Amino acid sequence: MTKPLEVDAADVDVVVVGGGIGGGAISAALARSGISVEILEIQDEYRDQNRGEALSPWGAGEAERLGLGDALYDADPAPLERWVQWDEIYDPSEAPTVNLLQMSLGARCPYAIHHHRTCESFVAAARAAGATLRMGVRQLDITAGAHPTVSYTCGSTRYQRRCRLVVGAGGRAAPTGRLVGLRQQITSHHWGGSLAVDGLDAWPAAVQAIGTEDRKMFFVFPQNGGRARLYLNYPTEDRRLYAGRSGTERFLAAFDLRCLPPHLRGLLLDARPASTCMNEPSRTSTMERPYTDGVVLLGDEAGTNDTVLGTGLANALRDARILFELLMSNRRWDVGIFEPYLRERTERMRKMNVAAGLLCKLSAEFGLDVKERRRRAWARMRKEPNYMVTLMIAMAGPERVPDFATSDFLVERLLAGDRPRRRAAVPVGTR
Amino acid sequence: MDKTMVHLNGDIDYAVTDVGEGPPVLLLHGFPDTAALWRHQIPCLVDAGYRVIAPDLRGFGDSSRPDGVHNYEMLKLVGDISSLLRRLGVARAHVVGHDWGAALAWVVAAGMPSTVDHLVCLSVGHPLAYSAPSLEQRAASWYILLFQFEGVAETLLTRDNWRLFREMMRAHGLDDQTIGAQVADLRRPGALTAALNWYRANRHPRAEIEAVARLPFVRSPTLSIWGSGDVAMLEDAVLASSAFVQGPWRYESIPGGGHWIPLSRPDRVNQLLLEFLGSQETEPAVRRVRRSY
Repeated sequence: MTKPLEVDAADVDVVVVGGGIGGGAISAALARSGISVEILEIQDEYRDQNRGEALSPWGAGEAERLGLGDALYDADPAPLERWVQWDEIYDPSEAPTVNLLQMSLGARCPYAIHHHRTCESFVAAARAAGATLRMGVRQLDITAGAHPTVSYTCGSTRYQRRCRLVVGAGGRAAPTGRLVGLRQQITSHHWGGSLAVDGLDAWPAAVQAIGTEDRKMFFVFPQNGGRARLYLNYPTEDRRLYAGRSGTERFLAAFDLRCLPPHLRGLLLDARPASTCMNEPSRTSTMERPYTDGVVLLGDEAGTNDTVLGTGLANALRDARILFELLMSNRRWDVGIFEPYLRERTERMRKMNVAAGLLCKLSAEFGLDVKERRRRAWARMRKEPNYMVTLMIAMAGPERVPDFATSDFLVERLLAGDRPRRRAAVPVGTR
Repeated sequence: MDKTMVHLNGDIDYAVTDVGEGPPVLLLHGFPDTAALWRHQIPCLVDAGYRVIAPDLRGFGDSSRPDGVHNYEMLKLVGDISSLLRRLGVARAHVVGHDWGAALAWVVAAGMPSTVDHLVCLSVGHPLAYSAPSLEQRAASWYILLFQFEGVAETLLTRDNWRLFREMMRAHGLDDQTIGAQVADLRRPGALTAALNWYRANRHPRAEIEAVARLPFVRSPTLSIWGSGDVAMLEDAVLASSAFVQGPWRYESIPGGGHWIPLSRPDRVNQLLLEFLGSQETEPAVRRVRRSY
């Protein structure tokens, strides 16, 4: 018979479910403002896992707005300043370079962060300001309402908390939403995999690769010390290729890319896996309303754009900043105060989904037609820079691009085929 | 470097490195440094038999950072130096300045001639030499205009992990370790604003319109040192400084030294200092009888 758990009951202002990027950020901001915060994290310790680690420039800006700039940069993120567009549509020596600082419209760059170290940095800031962190949390239960309660097991203690608000920042597994009946609709466009590798010391510094060849969309994000994150997107029907025991081998072999210059191609061939290879479906999730009485969701729990866009972390940080501002400017935290959050997020997701959809169609679909479509689209974008605004949403942020960036007209123009040749004039009288 | 805290007039605390025995040498750093700028000069001067006094100036390092642009006006800084020397029991010292420290050193030498024995100004000419800057110097001083915008300059310099700040420092040839130490110092609450306030209080464009304060001639023997390739402070203003020095004036250019010569060419700077300090005859210190109250 198991020993009965000790019970620890107390009141706290805010319980944050999930000590990830979004949860850590909002906890630090709230704690520094004198709010009592308890962070519940499922991991026993922060471990390097494969996950999206790209932080958009506007996301880093949100961290700075929350006063977490130092905490973010102390976790040593790797700046990505140039995107060399190696792709099957270009000869390796002719791949154009996109200046990511300019694409961000703010002379900022995206970062490849160390996810677990950044989480540690944020929760350390939260704890320094008085927040409590519980790791290895199990058997979570939440009751929503005007006086929400949370109970969980940690170690040999059953904790019961009454609070003013539960912030659900539990990530993709959506533990909070599940417990209080806030459901997501999930769609998937393709599958994707990720792998950390070592041995890329000679990869050009601050250069990211994103391109498509054959039936793969590939990403290389260099970090520091020869470490890099490799990602692949591929058709759903190819998912078995990268699964199973030789999955990692075949994943790495997929980086034997003709569109790369020979020395970089060779570099990747010699790369050494530094993690397990994780494969999963791409994911767009929507939710009608990411909050209910006493519970509000942020980050992946509140809905995501397709993973191909790489804006999950930036979304979580913007959510944290907006929610923090709303909580600070309202004395009573009843459900109505989150309406501006819903409005902003809905519009933000709408715009980003247009960008994600365009990127999927251009780069995460495969075949000769798609290859030509991508070539044409980039030629159009180079000829008429206004066409780039849709893809700039991911770098600059949805509020920084003009409205026409998400217009059907623009997207259609980018994806359209070549204009049909004029037919020779048909003489009157002939049918 | 060990620092002691010295309390000055005006409720200001200065963190000071005070080492060695012998004739005093006051080392004045500039923007965005601290007394650590002089790390290659201090041991050399101590070994050569000098007492080296290297403070973190107002707004920098571990010294006080009062709020408000007006607290960084040149006269207040001159007052700090006067107060500091008196607290340390120093009546007369050689004064060596770099960047803003040089600007301050020029004014101290002009206004307090009995206090300054020999004067060495690195990289920056006499303030009056900048009263009619050339177009090239104006272009090189673009950042001084940017720094005038309170709040905006702080944001632009610090966003994206101090991207613009690092870029500017790298353009001067500073290495990442030095820049990292500068960022660590300036990151502290209010530190960057205090540092920028030196420019806001003393180099606002209106200063060009308003009557230039007439400074007495500098009487101390003066050595101006300039590193070629300095992208912020051009040579002609340094050369023009001779017009404002009554005593012996010497000019030394260090090829390829750039702006940060105490760090980029430490041996040459040390050699020049050892050669120059105390080398010229100077007027004896004027003894003024002070009435005690």
